[in-house]
Amino acid sequence: MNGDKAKICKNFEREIWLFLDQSLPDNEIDFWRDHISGCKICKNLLEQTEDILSAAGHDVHDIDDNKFNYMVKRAATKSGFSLKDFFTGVSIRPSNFSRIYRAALAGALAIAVIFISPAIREKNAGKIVNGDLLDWNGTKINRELNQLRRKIFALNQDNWSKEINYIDSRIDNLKQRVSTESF
Amino acid sequence: MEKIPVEENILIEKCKSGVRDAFGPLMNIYRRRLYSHLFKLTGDSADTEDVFQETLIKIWKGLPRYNNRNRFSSWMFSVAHNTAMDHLRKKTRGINFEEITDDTANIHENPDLSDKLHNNEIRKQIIKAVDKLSEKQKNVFLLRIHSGMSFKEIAEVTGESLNTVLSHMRYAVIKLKKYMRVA
Repeated sequence: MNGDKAKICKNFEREIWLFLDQSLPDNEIDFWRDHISGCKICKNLLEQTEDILSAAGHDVHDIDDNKFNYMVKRAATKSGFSLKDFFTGVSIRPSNFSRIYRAALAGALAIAVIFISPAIREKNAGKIVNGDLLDWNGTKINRELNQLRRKIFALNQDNWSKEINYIDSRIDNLKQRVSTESF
Repeated sequence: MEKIPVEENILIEKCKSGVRDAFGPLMNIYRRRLYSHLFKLTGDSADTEDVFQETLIKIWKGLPRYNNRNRFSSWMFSVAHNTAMDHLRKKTRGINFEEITDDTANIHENPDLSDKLHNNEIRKQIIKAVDKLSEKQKNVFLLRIHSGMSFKEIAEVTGESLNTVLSHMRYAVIKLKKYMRVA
């Protein structure tokens, strides 16, 4: 094989897919047809490639008739209405209808919000922000804080040790009284 | 662009205007090709059925926006392909695309391959070998086999350049041939 022919065959190897697609310009397709008719190697390459494609194309799988019919029915009915489609504009309806539907749904939602929102607010708001509840809690906490403050103050003034001394002396007195009375 | 048969065109128009009964016959035209494509992508009949159902829903929903300038089969396969890819991503399943090492071996070799291809066993081996392609090679190869899309259309669906798509296809076929030489 001379160098030029080898180059042409290498080119065909690259262009074979566009040749099979018939997406090359007419003059190039004619050129390759001429070349293939006189070149055993490229003819062989073309036949092998077509055979592989055809062999792979024989790998046919199919779905059961009933299942297919069910799926088709489901696809065509399921997509009759969907909220997502309404807002994204993907609808099986003609576009002039889908606009009306979208406007109607938006209106219905707005009315629903107007009626539902006050009811929700009345039900929960009183419990969450209740002045009395806050005052009651404040008083209680304040009282507990004052008691704590007094205790800390008492400890700081060492009243605690005075109380212990007083109790100790009372115990001593009682012990003496018990011992004198028993004799 | 390939002309759409008249009956198919009528069915498409009916579906676009919301005639549900037309959807079954329309999908029946592509049912086996579509199901086979999804089966090869997901590799599992339960997954295939899920994706097939989802695809049917998307096609039905998307039909009013389908632009007649594109081939219906290409549009439909791009919907199916993207649905399958989303499904596989969601499953975050590591697809077992065991790589056969990339090899730029001269694919002009082995002229006896065509004879082998007529053997059913070899055909089965090719079908198995498709599962061993890398994810991208497999996507391009299967889209080409089942959808009949041109490589330009495949490039649009997969979001890759035409050259990259052609390269995936080339290596896919090289790998399949290599696998067959081993088999």
